[in-house]
Amino acid sequence: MRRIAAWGAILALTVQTGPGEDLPPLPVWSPSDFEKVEKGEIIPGHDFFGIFGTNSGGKPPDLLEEKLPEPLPGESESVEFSTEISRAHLILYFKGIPTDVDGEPVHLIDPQDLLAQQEFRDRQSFLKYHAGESNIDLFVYLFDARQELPEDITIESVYRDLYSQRGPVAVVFYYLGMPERAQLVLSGAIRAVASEDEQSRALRASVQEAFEKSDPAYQLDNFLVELSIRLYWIEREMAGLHQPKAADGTAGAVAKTNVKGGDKTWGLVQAAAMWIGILLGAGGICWLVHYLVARRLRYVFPEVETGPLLGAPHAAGVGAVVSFSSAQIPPSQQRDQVPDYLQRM
Amino acid sequence: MQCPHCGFEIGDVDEIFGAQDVRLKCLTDAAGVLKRKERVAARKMLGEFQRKFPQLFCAVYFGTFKELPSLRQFGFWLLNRGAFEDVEVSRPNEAGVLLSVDVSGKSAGITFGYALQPFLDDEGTFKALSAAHPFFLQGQWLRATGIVVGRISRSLASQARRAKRVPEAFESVPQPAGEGADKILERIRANHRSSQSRSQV
Repeated sequence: MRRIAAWGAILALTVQTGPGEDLPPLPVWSPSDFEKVEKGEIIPGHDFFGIFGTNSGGKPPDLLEEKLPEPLPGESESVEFSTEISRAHLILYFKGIPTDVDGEPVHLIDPQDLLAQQEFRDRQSFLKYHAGESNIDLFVYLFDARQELPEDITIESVYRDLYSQRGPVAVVFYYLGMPERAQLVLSGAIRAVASEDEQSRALRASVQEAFEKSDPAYQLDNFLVELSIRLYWIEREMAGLHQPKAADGTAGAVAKTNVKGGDKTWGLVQAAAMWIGILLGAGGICWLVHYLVARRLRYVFPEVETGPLLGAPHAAGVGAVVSFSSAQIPPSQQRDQVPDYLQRM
Repeated sequence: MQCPHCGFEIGDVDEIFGAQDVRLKCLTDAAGVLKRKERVAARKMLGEFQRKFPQLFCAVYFGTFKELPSLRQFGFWLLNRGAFEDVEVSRPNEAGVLLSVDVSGKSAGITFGYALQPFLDDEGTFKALSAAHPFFLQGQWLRATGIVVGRISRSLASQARRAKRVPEAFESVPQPAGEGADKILERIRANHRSSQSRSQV
């Protein structure tokens, strides 16, 4: 009881002591208790940390006395999930572009319900937002990490069957939990602008961004955000450098692009710069041709028959003289019209 | 040989400037108004003139004359007595154009050889000088020279093209055969004397 009182006093002092207060003296062992401590009869701290009783020899008691139930036969084997996608799901995936109740296309296709409802709604909402802001729609097919598609279904065939007539789109096969398996295909108009290298860079960057998260749903989030950014830059290239056009026969016609105000200005600036460049180039070429022609030009006077000029050997002609003594008088009034030599010296 | 109108002859100016031939170059800066770079540029300009007109040459003389009676007389004399060292012999002085500038007297004149008589006239040469007048006033000698040479070149190029098309336009009526310059001079003088005697009567 005395020991408890002593520890309580220490605790109270620790709590109550403030700066500048006089500290009470520390407790001291009474001679009898000190003797017991030396003999080992009292273990300091035993009352606080006494779960390992002295009677148990200092060994921790066996807390998990109840044993786990025996595993049922067959349960000890590891569970292997099927990598195949059922036929019913395949039909739901690829029978067409799914639409919502408003008739708007659903950009996130997940008939296997791999995402929770709220997760699905969040990602679908983001993709819808992206579609509203960008001319390149993004359609994402969700599969489980290790699922395999039948050989006859590839991302290219899906694009060709469902999206080739739709305009600029990006189709993604995303394997939830394994972003590195993601596949991307872009419509012909985009491929005409963005090189293969650029496309693969966009996919790699998106996958890398996905790996920043550990949760598969958040991985998908990161993947979509990065891909959306990359598509935005590709779209800028499309709007600025080239008008959308059919890239190849299979891609078909591409829907007209609604170039935004900023892009229009940029396009005009580029067109103006291009024309100025062409004009300057043409001017330069004209100047060069003129220069080369002028350098080759020689003016030769033909022999013309003239009357004798008093037989003088040279300098029969006497040209004009102008005085530049005054800046106020025009040259015509400073013209000495009468040859001076008429006035005999 | 005297002028039938005024009796002027080369001997008159020889008495002033000397009867000996003078050796000089196309660009003579006796007044020392051009900088080294300007001299190089001026020589290049005169070389270009010679390249363009294989039969002609152009010379520029900058001088300071204290008591020059006439710049025309000086130009006339220099084109007759000048031996231009850097001009090929195939280009005689009669095919020369001389720009003479009296820097202290503030006057500039153009004299040209008689081979150019059909192609240049006083009016054309005066226009060339007038175009360079502002630069002469400011003492921008190289620029003034460039303008004069450029104008003369353009005028000559135009005349050369025209002469190639219609050479008859530049031909003057030839004098009757056998009548030389001496005879013409005598005839004019005789007429001149007879008119004087008539007026005295």
